[in-house]
Amino acid sequence: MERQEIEKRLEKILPKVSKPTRYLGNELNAVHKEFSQDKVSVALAFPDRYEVGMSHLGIKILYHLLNRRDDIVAERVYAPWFDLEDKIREMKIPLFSLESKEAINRFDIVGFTLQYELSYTNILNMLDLAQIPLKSKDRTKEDPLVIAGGPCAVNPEPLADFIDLIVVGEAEELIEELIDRYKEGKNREATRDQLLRELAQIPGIYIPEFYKIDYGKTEVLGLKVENDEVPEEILKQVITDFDEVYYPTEFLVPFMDIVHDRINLEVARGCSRGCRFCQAGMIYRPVREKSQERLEELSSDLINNTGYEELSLTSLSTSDYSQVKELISNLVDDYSKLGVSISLPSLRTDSFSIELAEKVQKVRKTGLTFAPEAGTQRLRDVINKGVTEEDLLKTIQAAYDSGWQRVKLYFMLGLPTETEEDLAGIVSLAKKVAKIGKIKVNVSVSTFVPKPHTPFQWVSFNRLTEIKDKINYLQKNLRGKGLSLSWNEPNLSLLEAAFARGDRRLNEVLFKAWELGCKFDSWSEHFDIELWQKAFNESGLSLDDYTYRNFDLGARLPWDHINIGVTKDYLKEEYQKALDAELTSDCRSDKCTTCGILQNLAIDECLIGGEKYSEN
Amino acid sequence: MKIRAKLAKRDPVKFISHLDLMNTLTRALRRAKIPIGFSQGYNPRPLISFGSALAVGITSSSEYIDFELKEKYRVAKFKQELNLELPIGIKVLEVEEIPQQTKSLMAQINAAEYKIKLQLKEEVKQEEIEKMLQDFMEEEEIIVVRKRRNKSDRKFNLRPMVFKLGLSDVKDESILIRTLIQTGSSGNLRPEELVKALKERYPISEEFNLTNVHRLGMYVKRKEELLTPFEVALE
Repeated sequence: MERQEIEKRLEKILPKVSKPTRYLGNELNAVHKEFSQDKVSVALAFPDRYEVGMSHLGIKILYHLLNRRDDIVAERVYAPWFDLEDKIREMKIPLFSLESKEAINRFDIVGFTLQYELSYTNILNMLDLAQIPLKSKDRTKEDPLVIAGGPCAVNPEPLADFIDLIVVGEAEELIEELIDRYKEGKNREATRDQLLRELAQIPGIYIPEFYKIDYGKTEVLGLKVENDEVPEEILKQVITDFDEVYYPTEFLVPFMDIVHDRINLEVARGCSRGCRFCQAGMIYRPVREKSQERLEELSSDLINNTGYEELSLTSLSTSDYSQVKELISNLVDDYSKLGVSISLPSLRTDSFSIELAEKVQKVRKTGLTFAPEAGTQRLRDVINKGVTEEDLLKTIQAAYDSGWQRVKLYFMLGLPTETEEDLAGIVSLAKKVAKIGKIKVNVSVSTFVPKPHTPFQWVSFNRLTEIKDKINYLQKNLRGKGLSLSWNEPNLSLLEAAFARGDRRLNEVLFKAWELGCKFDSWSEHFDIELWQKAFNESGLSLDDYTYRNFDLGARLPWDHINIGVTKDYLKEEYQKALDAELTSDCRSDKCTTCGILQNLAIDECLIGGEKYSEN
Repeated sequence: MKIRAKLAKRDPVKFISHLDLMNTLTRALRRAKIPIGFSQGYNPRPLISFGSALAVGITSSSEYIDFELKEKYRVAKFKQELNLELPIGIKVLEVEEIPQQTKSLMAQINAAEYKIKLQLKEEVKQEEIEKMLQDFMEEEEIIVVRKRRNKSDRKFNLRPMVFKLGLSDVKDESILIRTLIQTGSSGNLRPEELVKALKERYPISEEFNLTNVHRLGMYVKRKEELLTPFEVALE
């Protein structure tokens, strides 16, 4: 459909849907370009609604990075909310880009970001709304190339039928090369197959259809590569000069309220703490920092270009950033008079972090969140969370003394080796904290989901019945003055667990679930476990088998052909140490833990950027 | 110092809410490096106050907003710098420095003028429409019901709240009506309520959206005298 026609029909629809601002595409710093034959058009797709998708930093980086080039047009698309979807289906309007209202099926490339497993049905639904064949094998040269990347790309198998090409690693590093090669192929009218074959040569690119995988009951029996040209293993690609790498300063600013409505300034990537449950901590290695000088320049440009009232210093662990104290002092000094506040996304459990929180929150003492993750020292040692009860109590006392009235304590249920004692530990720890002055304590629990490429990738998800008992136990016991409890719906984690460590056989389940009407699964009010059970049954598979599977340590895993740089031997060793409740220290301050990241990615030093300054 | 400004909110931004507009202005002021004042307290808010909120979907060529600045600033520069930073669809049309003790817009404005486009089901003669509007204005009582969240419905007579009502244009199968109605804290009539009342009496028009409404002006009405918020501040 021509965009004029789409616009005409939307004129009639938009006044009737909730928050039409979601679909306008005229935000500050949005890029409006002409489309033409000699340009490559890219639709950047986030499979959730606007408020969530617009909060995502990765899309913003890619959007501005690609639009810097005259030969690329990059536009955005998010999952339309229920009311708009009904209307565009009724009016036969194909899914369109926000900026130009161009039909998504007319773009050269459609790129999805894979941020969480429960967004997968939305990908299928968006492809369907875009009138693009759902399965890769049904697409022709006339259809866009459907690509995906992001953290879930470290096990892309459950999506292998639907995505033509997966980017493993940091897209900033290879997206331009991908587009250049695409453009070259497009110009000489290469067939779809030729094009895919050529793209498969780029390091970090995985094209699932070139790989045939044989499965046993759980493990992989064998993986066959279709021809010699495609690599047997796909190696994650990372930015090596993180200080110099492009970062947008013409940041998009929405009109409407979104989930994270602020400037995100990424100070570092990767985390060296080595918590054993944490996938981000493994897959985003090595740790790289931007220099304080660059961050101050970027802050100034970002504030000038957006007018935002808040700048958040983001990373997996911002209080670990080498110059964090100096950076925050300078930013607060420079911008508080303009009414711009500086914020930190999370805090480590130590007095240093309270000092930082003091600096950024000179006025308002809102709540603080700490994540002991587990209730006893033994279990915290199992997961390598280097926090002691003493640290926690001291830190919270310091926070209380500085004026904070509320703390949130975050724990996970269902961690490997968890016993009743660990649950009792959550209760007693929370009660000890609640004795500090008149502080209010909210205990927030979620269910641990074992993730690929972590030391716990071999182990089962905790039985749902047990999780429910554990929540009941906490409900009964976490009572008292100043105490409250909140928890996440464990059914959602159950499905997340199945897909996180899933394999190709789940493609059929996903397809069936979508046909049955599953979408927006990460929204508990729209999630329906019974539909998913049905989808599994109709595919001849069992949700329980996937959720509760244990892999043999010697088995070939469904995601073993994706190499994230951290070796499997290291993960095994970490798993063994977990069972022995033995700690592994942070390589930032101690010796190398031989995770393999530097050797595998052929990088000379860890903590790139940071060490240049830390000696002074 | 206090600055009173008249802004236009046009088609590209017709769907942004009152709160969105507030944030958009605050951010534009910051980009323009205009020294806007902030409230004291835990959660400093920029000192910006509106006349009356515009419903989502309605466009306007007369949104009045007061700005309190920390220091002296040239009003011409204020208009120029802010316009450079405002997104397409929002524009400062007029600015005046006003006395510090001027009452708030909210307390002053009591009338708003609208242009409303109605799509007709079939062609109707101009005289007939004029007659309809005239008849409407000759009524004493026209009761409408307003639904309220978490409260019982409110019934009220809208007739005294309609000061003027006339036909401004007829085009093929649509008409433009122009009306001056009561707004503000001592009584507020919404343009869609007027349309609803009209449609109930004369079922000549098709389905109606707020996107067919445009706010032309906001006034301080004193008996038969109609003053703009600028005139009131500077008298």
